[in-house]
Amino acid sequence: MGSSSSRRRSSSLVTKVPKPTIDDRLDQGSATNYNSNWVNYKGAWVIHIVLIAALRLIFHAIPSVSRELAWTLTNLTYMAGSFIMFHWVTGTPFEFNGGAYDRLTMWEQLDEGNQYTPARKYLLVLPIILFLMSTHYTHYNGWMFLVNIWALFMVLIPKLPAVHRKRIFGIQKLSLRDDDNDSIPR
Amino acid sequence: MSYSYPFFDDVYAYYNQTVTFFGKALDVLPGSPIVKRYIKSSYQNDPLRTFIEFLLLVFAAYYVLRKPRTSPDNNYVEFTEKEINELVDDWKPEPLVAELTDVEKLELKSIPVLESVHLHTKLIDGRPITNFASFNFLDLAENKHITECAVATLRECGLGACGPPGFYGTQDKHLRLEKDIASFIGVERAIVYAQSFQTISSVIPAFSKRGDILVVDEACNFAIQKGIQISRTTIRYFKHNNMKDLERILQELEDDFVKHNRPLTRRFIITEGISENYGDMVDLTKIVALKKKYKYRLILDETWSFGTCGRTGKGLTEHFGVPPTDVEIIIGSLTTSLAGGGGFCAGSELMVEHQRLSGMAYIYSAALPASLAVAAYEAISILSRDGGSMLNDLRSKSALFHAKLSRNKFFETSSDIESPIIHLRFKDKDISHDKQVFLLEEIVELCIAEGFLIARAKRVESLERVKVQPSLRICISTGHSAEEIEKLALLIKEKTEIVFDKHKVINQV
Repeated sequence: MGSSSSRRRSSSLVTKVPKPTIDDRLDQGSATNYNSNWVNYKGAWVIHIVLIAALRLIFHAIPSVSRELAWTLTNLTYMAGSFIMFHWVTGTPFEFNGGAYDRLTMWEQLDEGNQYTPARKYLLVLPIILFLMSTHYTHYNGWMFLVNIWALFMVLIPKLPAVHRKRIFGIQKLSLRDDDNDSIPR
Repeated sequence: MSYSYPFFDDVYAYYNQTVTFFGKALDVLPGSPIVKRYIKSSYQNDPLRTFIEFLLLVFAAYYVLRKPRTSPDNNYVEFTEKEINELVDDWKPEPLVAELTDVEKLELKSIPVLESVHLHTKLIDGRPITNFASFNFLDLAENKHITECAVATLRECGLGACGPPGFYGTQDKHLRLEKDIASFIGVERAIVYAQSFQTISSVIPAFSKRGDILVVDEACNFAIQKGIQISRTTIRYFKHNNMKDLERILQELEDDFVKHNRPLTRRFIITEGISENYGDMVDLTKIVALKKKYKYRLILDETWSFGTCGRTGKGLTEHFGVPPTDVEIIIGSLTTSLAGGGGFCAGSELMVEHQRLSGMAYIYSAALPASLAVAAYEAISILSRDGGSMLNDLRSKSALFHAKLSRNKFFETSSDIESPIIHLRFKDKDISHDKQVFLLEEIVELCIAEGFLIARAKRVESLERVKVQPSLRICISTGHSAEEIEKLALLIKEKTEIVFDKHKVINQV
C-alpha cells in the first residue's frame, strides 16, 4: 500500500481528471451526449444575446439602480450563470451513458473534448465582449472594473485549452475512485 | 521665460499632421466614427485598463483564429504512409474457423443425442441411457400435470409473447407466476426474466453504476462476470466462499473510505448460493452478519440453489434459516428444478419495480412464453405441497453419491454434501489443464457407452476471468434410483482406471 499511497498524492493547487479508460470511451461514444451537443445549435448561440439583453433590461428597470450598476450586475449574473453551468456542474442530468461523464464539466464534454471548435470560440469571446461593454458603460469606475475583471477571469481561465481536465485551487476537486489506482487488482 | 526647441517642435508638428492624416483616411471606412468615438471616450487617462482590454482583444482574436484540434484525451495513433504500407504488407489473414483441437474433435464425434428429456431415455441410435447431466433435479420435466397445463396454455395463449414485457408481452400467466414466486420465497415481489442467464447480468447493471462498489466472489459464474463488466462498477474480489477474506476486504474498503473521505455510494456483495463452478454452498449466516456489520447490500444468485436447497426448496435462506428479507436481491432460475423457463429476481417491491425500467433484459427481450410460465408456477404449487418429501429424497441421494465417492482414489469434490450438482476433480493437480480436459472427455465417452450420461463442465476458457480446474459434473435427481447412483459411482472409478492405464497416466496421489 506504500506505493498506492504515494501514487495518490497530488498537488493541492491543481488536480487532474484521469485519462478516460476504454470503458469510459465506449460508454461516451455509445449515445449522443444530449447534455452538451445543444451548444452547436443556432438557438443556443442566440439565447446568450437574448439573456444578456433581458438581464440588462431587468436590472435597469429596478428603481435606484444606476446605469453603471445595472451593467455590472448584468455582467456578474451572466458570468455566474456561465460558470455554474459550464465549469461547476459535472456529469449529465439524465442517465444515458452509465455515468461515463460523471467527472467532466460541461465545458469538458463539449464537442467530445475537441479544442478550438466554433462553439468554444463563441462561448469564450462572448464573455470578453460583455466585459468590455460593461467596463465601458461604467465609465471605468475602479472598483467596478476590478469586480468585473475578476468575474471574467473566473469564467475565462477554466476555458483555456491548457486547463482541460484540470481543477485549479480545489474548484470541483475530485475524490478518487478505487479504480483510479491501477495497483488494486480487478 | 519659456524656452522653445525648434527640433522637437518640428517633430511634434509632423506627428500631429500624420495622425490627422490617418484619422481622415479612416473616415472612409464604414463604422469608423463609432470606433473612433469609443477609443476617445474609453481612454480616460487610464493606460493600464486600456492595456488590459487590448490584451483581452488580442487573446480573443488569437483564440478565434486557431483551427479546431482534436481532444488531447484522444488515443488515436497517427501512422505515416510508410508505416501503413508496412502493416498492410505484414498482414496475414487468419482462418475464420481455427483448427479443431483434439478435445474438440473428441467432443464433436461423441455428442450424444437423446430422444426425450426424461431421465430414463434412449440415445438416438436406440441404446438406453440414464441422464446424469440434466438439471431436472426434481424430475418435474415430464410431470404429467405440468405437461397438461403447459399444453393447455399453449393452445390458449400461443407459442410466444411476441414482445417485451414492458410493451405488450406481459400476460396474466406472468403476473401469477411473479406472485407465486414472491409468496413461495416469502418476499414482497418478484420479477420474471425470459432467460436465466440474462437475469443476474441485467440485475447487476440495473442497480450498480460507476463509482459504486461490488465485492464479488472470485469464482463467480460467467453471467455474474458479464453483469459486473456491463455495470462499470469498481470491483473487489474475495476468495471463493472465504468469509475471512471477505471480511478482510470489507475492512480494507472501510478503512479506505474513512481515510480518503470518499463519497458514500451503493455497495453490494455478490455471491452464489450453490457455486456453479464448485458446487459448494456459501455460509449465508456469516455473510449476512458481515453485510449488516459493514452496511452492504447482498445480491444472492440462487440459480443452482433455488429448488434444490432448503426444507421445501425455497433456497439458501430456508436452508440456513435466514429471513429472505435479509437478502436484498435474490436471483433464481426457473429452468432447472421447476422445469419451466427463464429466471426471476425477488425481493422488496421497490427493488423489483425499479427493474421494470432499468433491467436491460426485461426491457429489450421478449417476455417468457406463457406455457413456460405456467409450467413454473404449477411446479411451485407442487413444491408448496410436496416439497418437503421431494427435497428429502434429493438430499439423501446426493449424500449417497458422496458416500460412494469417498473411496475413489482418483477424484475429489468440494461440492456440498447436500448439493445435487457434484463436481469431480482429479486429486492429482500436476496433470496439465489440457490433459485433464482430454482425460475427462474420455471418461465421459466410456460412461455413455455403458448407458450413463455424464458431462464435463464446459466453459469458454478464453472469456473466463479465473481459470478453474476442469471437472466432471454429476447432476443428481429425485428421478434416479439409489442403485443407479451407486452403479454410476462405481462406473466412474472403473472407467477412470481404464483411461489412466490407456494413456499411461500414473496416479500421483
